Amino acid sequence: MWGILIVGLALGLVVGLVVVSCRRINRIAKRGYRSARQTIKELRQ
Amino acid sequence: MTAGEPVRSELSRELSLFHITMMGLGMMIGAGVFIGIGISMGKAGPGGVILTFALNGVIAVFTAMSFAELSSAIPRAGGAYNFARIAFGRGPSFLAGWMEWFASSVAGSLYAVVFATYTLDFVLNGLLDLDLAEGALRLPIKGVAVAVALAFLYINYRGASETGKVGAFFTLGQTAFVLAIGLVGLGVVAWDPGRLANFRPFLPNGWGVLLATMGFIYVAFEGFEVIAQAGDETIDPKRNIPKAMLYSVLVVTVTYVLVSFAAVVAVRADDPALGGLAPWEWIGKSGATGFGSAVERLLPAGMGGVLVVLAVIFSSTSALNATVYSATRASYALGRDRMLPARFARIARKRRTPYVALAATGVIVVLVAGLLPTQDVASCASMMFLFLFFLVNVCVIRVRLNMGDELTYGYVMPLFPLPPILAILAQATLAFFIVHMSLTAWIITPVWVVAGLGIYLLYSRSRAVTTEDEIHVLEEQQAPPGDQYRIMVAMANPANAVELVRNTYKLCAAKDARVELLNMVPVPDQVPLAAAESYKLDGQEGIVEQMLYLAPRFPISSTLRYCRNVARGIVSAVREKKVDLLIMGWHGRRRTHAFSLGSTLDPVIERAPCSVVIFKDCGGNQRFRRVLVPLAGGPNGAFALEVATILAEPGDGEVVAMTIGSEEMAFDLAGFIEQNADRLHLPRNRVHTRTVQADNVVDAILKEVEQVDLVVLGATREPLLYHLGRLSVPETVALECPKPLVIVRASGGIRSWIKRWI
Repeated sequence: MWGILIVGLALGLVVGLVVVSCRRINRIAKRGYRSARQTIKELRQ
Repeated sequence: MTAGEPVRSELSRELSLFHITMMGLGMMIGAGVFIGIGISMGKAGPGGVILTFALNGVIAVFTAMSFAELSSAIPRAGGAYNFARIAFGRGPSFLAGWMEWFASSVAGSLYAVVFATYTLDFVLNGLLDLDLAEGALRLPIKGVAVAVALAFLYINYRGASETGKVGAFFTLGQTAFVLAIGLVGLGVVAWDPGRLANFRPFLPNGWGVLLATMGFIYVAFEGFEVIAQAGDETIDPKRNIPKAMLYSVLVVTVTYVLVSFAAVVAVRADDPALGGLAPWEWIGKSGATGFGSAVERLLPAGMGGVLVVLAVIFSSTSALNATVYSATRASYALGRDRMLPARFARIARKRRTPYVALAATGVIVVLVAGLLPTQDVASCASMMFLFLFFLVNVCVIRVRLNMGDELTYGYVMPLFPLPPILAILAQATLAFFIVHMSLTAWIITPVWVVAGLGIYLLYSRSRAVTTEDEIHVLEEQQAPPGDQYRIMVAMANPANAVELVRNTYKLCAAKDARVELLNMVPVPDQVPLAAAESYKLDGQEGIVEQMLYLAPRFPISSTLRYCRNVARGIVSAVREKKVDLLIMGWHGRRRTHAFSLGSTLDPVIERAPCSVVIFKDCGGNQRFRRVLVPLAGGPNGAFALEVATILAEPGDGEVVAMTIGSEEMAFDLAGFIEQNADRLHLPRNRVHTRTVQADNVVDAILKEVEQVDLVVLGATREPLLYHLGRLSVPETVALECPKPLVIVRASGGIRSWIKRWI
């Protein structure tokens, strides 16, 4: 049971991180490319 | 740019998100999964194999985030070698290149070994039913692996490794096949839930052994990093490269988990072939071919065995090819930057491939494939990639902290710096635990790294060249403003330059056009586009000759583009520069029957989003007093007529519009000319019509050709499948025509992919 739960969590984490990352990539492309610090600031807004 | 300025160099951006995602997937879904499932299941059990892939997927996605962030900030530098150069300087950069070279070479050895293992097992044990033990096959496997490796080294030397869009579709098919096996596994369980009992015991050997199998199988998750090398050639790289890396890791993780699930449930527990063993023990006993044995029982009527062998052949050969040039590229870069002897960067005069770097790569690939057992080869490759990715995860932290205010980022990872730190810890742990899978790998890999350090300290440090040479970024030229008619003259062969330019002159004068001179310089895959400067000399000469001729009269821009594929490069340049008319030359022969006019012209005629004019044998001081235009009512007829009147000698030159048919069925030539005369400014007194009665169209046209100085033909617009294996009338005439010839295609909107084929 623990095994299945871990497999599920791992796959969920992979899917989640890819989805979040791709949304970020789209948002950053829309707002224009800036330095890392500036990008993080804008993403928080 | 004016005529007085020097020729500029720029990059040909041809690869879309789909292409580069497929590039990553093609490298990843190679040998690792095929040999890894059987071996890992034997060690870690039925649940262990699924956990191995799922948890490795998490580490891979962390690392992919690091690669994605670095590639988005430094899109053109590409690869661990340059990331380390920017983050830490020359020493670690050398080490990254050195490890990348070995890792890719050993991965190539692994693909060759897997190819040999599966094909020999299938042929000898499957088809011939010899039932040979694994030990008896060991020697033949090594022999075949070495032979396959040598064959692909030769293919790379010939420079024929470029697979382009066809390669992307092969990868799509291969991925779909592996994914389909996983889905069949789910279907089988839905039909027969009793097979879930195969998962008991879930982890027969405990959690500890997972770390060993995870480290061993890590090579199955390498490959997404090659996407970074395509930074020079990708459309919108800041956005597409990080996405492609993340997508490819997502697809392989889900695919691997599904396919390992399918392998576990493939064998029924009551199958008499198991001989009292549990299904997972039986699959594990088959070792490297365990996956094949399992899938054979998953699909009916022996289909499984054939399909797995086909999948292995496709995936391992394409991955072998790609790893060989990736490894060659790494050692070439070290030679170019003088970190290894300069001869590593030598280019073969005829083939234009870096033959010394390729030969050195070949030595590693062949030695490892020929001497080490499969498990050690896989472990060596996995361990070296763990080291390499470890370094990249350290780089991403360093670059963000030190240069985060200077670089422009297309992607910043969430939860920074947690993912790279977790990945670093996990990779160090896995590299340590590989000792349980292969002591040999645990000795060879650190020895290679230490040897690299020694070479750097004793040799490279004092010889390496400056940073500017190491990270070379070419400038891109924007399309000039204005809405003037634009004519692009594209050439791949500088010898055609003058022939093309004389006829271009007439067309430019008629259209009052702006001219864009484009020279496509094909560069082999082993050489990064950014380092292709040594290929440009010939192209520059051709362009300079053309500029001298055209510059006094017309506004000119001239561009030199490095590309992998000349046809794709030309089409992408036409699109970017919003060209109205493209002019090219043709040597008049076709080297293979797969193409009508040639491997470059066919795709350009088919896809260029503008009108196209192709000249054959129109050079010298020829005067075209009588120009023949065969017409049959096709979509290019009017444009052919317009081009013919422009090229015909001014004053006394005449155009003969000809059609073939019976009295009742002839195409109405006079009506057609009258209809188009005003729109195309046709001089009515110089355009004559002629209708010929004949059964064979080609013969009739060729007979008429004897009485003229030039023939202008409209290109065919038949679908690709229609003339599969045979030529259309214009193409047959073009190949057999003994006189100067012009083939034209009028711009007419872009047809859909499906329409073009059927």
